[in-house]
Amino acid sequence: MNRRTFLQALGLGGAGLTLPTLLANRSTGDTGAASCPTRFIVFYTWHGTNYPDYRMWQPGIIDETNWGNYSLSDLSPSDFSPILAPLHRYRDRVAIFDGLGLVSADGDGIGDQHQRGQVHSLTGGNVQIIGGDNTAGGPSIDQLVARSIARPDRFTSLELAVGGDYLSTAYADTALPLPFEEDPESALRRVFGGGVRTPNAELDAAQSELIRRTQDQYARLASELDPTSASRLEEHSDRIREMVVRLEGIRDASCGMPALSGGGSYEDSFLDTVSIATAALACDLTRVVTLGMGQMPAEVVGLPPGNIHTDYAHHVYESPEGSAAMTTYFSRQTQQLVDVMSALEAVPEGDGTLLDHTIILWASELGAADHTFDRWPCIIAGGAPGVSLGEYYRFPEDTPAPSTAGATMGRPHQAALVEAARACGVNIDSIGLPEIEAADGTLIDMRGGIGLVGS
Amino acid sequence: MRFYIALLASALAAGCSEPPGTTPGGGTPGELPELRADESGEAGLRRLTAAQFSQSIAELIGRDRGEREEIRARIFETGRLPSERTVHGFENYGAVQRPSAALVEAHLRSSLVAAEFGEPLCGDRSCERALTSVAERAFRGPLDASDQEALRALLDSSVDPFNGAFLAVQWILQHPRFLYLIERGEGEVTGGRIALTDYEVAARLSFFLWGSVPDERLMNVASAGRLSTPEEVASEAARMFDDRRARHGMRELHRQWLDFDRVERINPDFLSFELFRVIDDPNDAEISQIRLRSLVRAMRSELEMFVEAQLFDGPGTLRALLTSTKTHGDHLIRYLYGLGELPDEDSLDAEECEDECPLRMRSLDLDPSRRGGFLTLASHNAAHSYPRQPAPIRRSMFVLERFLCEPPPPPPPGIDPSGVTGRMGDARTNRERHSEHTTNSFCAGCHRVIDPIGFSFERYDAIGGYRTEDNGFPVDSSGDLRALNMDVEFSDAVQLSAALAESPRVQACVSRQWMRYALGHDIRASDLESLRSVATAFQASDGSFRELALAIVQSPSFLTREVSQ
Repeated sequence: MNRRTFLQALGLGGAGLTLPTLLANRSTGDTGAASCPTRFIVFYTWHGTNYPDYRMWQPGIIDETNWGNYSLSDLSPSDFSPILAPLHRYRDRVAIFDGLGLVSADGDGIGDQHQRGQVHSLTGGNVQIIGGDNTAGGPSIDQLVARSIARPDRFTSLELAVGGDYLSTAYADTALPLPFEEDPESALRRVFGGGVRTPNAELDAAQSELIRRTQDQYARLASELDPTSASRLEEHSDRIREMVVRLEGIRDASCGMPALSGGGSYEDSFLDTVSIATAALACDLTRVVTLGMGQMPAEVVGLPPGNIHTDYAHHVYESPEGSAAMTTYFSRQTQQLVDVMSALEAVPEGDGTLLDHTIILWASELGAADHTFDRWPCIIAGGAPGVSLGEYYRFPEDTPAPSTAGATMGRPHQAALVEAARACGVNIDSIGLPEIEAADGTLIDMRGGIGLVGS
Repeated sequence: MRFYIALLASALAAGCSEPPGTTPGGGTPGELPELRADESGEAGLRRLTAAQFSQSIAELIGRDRGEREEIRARIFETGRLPSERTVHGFENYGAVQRPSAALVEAHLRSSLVAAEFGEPLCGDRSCERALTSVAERAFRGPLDASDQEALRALLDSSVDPFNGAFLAVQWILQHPRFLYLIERGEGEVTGGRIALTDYEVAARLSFFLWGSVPDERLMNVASAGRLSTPEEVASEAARMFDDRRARHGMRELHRQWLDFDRVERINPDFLSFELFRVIDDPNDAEISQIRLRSLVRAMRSELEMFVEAQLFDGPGTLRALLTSTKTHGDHLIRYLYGLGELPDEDSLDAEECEDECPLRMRSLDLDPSRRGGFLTLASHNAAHSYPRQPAPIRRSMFVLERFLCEPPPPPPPGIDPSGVTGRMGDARTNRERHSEHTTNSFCAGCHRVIDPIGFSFERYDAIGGYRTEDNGFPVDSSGDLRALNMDVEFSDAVQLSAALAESPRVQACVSRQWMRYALGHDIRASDLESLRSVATAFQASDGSFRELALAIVQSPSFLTREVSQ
């Protein structure tokens, strides 16, 4: 799809669409926030990558035995790898990482590899089983960032999934997975209102008071119950209190509602979801979005019928057909990332565009679809003040593996999460596990970032 | 990495030959296996699930069937709650029901939608009396002074009675006593447990059996103190099981336990099945999509109607669930069972209207040599398939998890799954394609348990139709359960199903599943005595589900709660 069609589908290109409304709101409606706040998007895909078609080595400079980084600026489209080729257009706006590993997931003993990677990839910590559910032991990076950059009077974050069956990857805290909205129309209604109106002005005025009264019931009841039940009610009461602040804030904002395609296909759902996310970020309805990219049907990628997971992904390193199919699949996901970037770039903001004020982290639950944790694909894209992009980074694969004595892995992936947070202006030194023990007994330090910020 | 795999293989084999939940061996035939606690037994304050929430509101506010349906539809359309986390398929585990921003917003939206139906509640009675009665059912108990005062204040705050009712309904539906199963208990703490109050027992009963709030009669029974002994509870539960609401409640239990929702996600390859080649142009996917949506709707209906018919209109036994040849189907399902012609282009008009027109489901008698029981239904097998071929591992995992409570551990890290599933196009049949599992000694530890069950369903293709050939070669659906220490041999899934229907291990597992659902948490050590009495009663009743429900509600685990320190 060329750019023009995509933007039209989003309702963000051409004449007479919602964009002017959004801009008008920005200039008059929002107070108390920095003129161009940094936003954060987690773009999450499954099955890792097909590493030989992902990496972009420069023989003699960056290859099997040479580590470091080089500038992407002078690369021609054909210098890009098959999977990352669509990003050539944005080569000055991405940092591509090669040689990270989900080292802590390798050392975890709970859950299958998908579940382990699902928790480790964004929380940097171990899987926990609580109430029979495999869950996380701490917040995911999006929520950690949201705690610092979200406005209390807007949505803390939005979790939007494309395609059904998306497993939550966003954790507000320990054992607190956030539900993902898979239906664009429901998401639109939630974020931009519509559908429910109080019947008259008197009721409208009574609404906040009623919610506050409800909240009182939670506090009163919590004080009479056992600690476990009480803490659950207090948690619920907290959510209501936050909602009151949020609803009052959103009532004061007036944002243009993006038009949806109304179609039910995977591609329609993708366009609609990006449209909602872009409009919400542009109008400062939220500053943090996770785009959970559910598994694409084979036919969307032009592959013969089959299940991507079992018919193709598992064969990524075994058969030429499987490898070729997954390269097609992953390059399509790169194109989707480019589509997201284009949508952000189409929204003027300050001296530039929304893309200049949005950090995007592309992450996955595995290194590759053969269920391995090493050679984890990861990209930071977009822009924010003081963040240097446009480089390719190759890390040495010299970390002792936690599960297998004598084996080595890439650099612990927590560095990319730390770096993404720092790029959003949230200065952390570690996330999840700060260190773990390797199989040979050495301590693996997982603190620190990569150095895109202020370097 | 190979070294690592060898190390894990021994651990894995141990994991599979000694599955959690029961001991291998099973003792003499007919004897219940030794029962063990589930691995993770945290309980937590239970919240109404999305399904319980909308059903309860419909029952509380809707004055007749039409209005109840309208309320449910409006909530689904406008105030839909986020999907629930599931454990063993169950959506009502308190320990994982953490509130999110999206949840409290959906509660608010739903309460606004429902409040619009609130005005007629006042009718000719005093508004306060009418809404107090709604609130008492919603809260499963009388209002305390503070609640009564809050309700009055809301009604008084408005000059217009409609506005008053509108606010009061909203207040009720967002109240913690409506949304959470608050349990305090009363009397002495014995052995770390305390008896529930009659109202608390009533709430457990109604959400277990009806998936909804109590009716007025149950409230009266609780108010009169007539839920104080196991016998009194059983007598009321028997009444409830025979009420129309139990059909909804049991459908809900089975939807979660037997994973009806999976049928929504079937994704058949249109070109592989004649059913989807409706018109000459094989590339017209839109026509095929219409047919698929129509099929999904009929399949969900088949699963619901099958379970409901076995439970309420048939013998109501585990044996019937696993062996019955009576089901329901529309023209698409009749075709899959070989009981109707290939539906042609003309039937598309009826399919296109989707939810607008009623499904034409007819009662069907299936060929007992090909089908028998839930596990052999076209809809169930279609739901556990890949686009072109059956998914034997998924079909087997379903049986192991949901009917034997013995899920094998997940594949170990570093496993090379491409070698396991076979290369595309190499193998002659689907079974051969998966055979690497058992010839590779590393995988065999678990797959000798998993595969025979999965292969027994190979006679059902990826959309549930019957087949005798796969890729031009005869289908082999035979196997045995020796790897599970069960003396069972079978030629196909019909025989396997019939054997499972008589197995004490299955009876024990089904008891465990129903108890997990009734309690909203895993089976803990302190629940084992209850589970034992429940499983024994279930077995003694020849697998009657009604008796199973009655045994559960009389068990100490159901009538008391653990006191947290």
